[in-house]
Amino acid sequence: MSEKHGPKKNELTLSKNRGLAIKRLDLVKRGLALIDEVKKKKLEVLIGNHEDAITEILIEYVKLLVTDKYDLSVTPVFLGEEILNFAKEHPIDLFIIVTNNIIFRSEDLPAELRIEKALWLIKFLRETYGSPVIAFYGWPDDPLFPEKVKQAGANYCFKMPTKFEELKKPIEKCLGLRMSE
Amino acid sequence: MSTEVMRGKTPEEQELNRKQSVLPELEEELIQRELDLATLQAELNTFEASYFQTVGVRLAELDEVEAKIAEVEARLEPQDNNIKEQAAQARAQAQKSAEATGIIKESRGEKFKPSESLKKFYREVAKCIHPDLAVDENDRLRRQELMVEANGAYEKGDETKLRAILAEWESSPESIKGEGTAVELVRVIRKIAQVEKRLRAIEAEVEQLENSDLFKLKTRAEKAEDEGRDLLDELASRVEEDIVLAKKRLGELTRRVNK
Repeated sequence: MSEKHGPKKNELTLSKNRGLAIKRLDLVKRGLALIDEVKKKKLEVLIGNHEDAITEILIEYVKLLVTDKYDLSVTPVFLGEEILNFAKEHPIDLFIIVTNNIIFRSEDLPAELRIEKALWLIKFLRETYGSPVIAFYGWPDDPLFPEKVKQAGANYCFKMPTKFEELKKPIEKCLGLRMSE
Repeated sequence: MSTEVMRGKTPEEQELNRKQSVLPELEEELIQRELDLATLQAELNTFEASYFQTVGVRLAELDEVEAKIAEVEARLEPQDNNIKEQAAQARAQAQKSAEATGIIKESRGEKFKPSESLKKFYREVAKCIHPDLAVDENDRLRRQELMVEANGAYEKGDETKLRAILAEWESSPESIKGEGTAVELVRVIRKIAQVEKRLRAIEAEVEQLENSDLFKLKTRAEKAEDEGRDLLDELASRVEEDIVLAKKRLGELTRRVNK
């Protein structure tokens, strides 16, 4: 179109009035400036496990996947009662439960029953809060065990040791992150 | 053997053939660039409407509350000319923002996604009516009007309107072309120059749009969307927080004034 005749196309479509366009531009500029002030999406992860070394590795894995685009908080919790209390007080986006390392202080249970109690915990968390659960276990060696864990409500179940690559997609999916390639 | 005398092509005819062979490709490029530009503009318009409906209106509301705060402060300190001046500025800003958000399209959540058939029609229409294919000034003006109509129809996704523009054009006397090699040669040379000029202008317009704050904001919003976030909602929530604080402050000041 000729430059001599009529207004430029973007003037016609973006705004019919230059004065109004300038006023609108001011509000657009303010929006751009506000972006950095916008709070990052908060992600709260609870790791229920009685063993420090494993917890540290799991924290590392989660931090590697959840970049600084999010306001990530990972809380390690040692006892079953504390898991229940913490979940009651805080909205959790993802529970990571190491089934054979869940100990309830109030109940001195043998190892087999501790596992059963951990399955109850998973079921309770899923039914009460709805947030996803990723479960881990070091034992038992029962090949049907992962199925039991999933029946309790866990979204994923991994036997330790677990490679980081195996956890990537499940964690991304549970936290609703953009999936990596 | 034919007894017909084969007449060789005149230099004008040869040149006309050369120019005519270049023109279709250029026209094709022009139409594609025109479509790209119209698409970009429509996307920006849709995004702008969405932005103003979610964030712009809240910024305007915030400005209004802040103007009221400044006015109450001015009433509390009637001798202070600085405060009076600040109140006037705050009121002007609120007025400006209210006017800026006054015309808002109801299109939150709708993105501009032209269908392939819409793009096809736009190309067909633009190929016929493009102002840079005009033969004279009257023709150019008429084409410009139609092009604005076509761009509007494209942005609204109105294929029927595009068909109507095309039908109207095809039945109009402007669609009939003149004859004669020399006239045609001049016409083709001018058309090539016009098309090249418009291509440069489109390039500049696209660059200008891509450097605009609106485009930057749109790019950030799209990036956030890829991360599963709604940037406009986040911005709106951020401004909401400021509005709540400002309203609280206004309440406190008003109570002081009424005491």
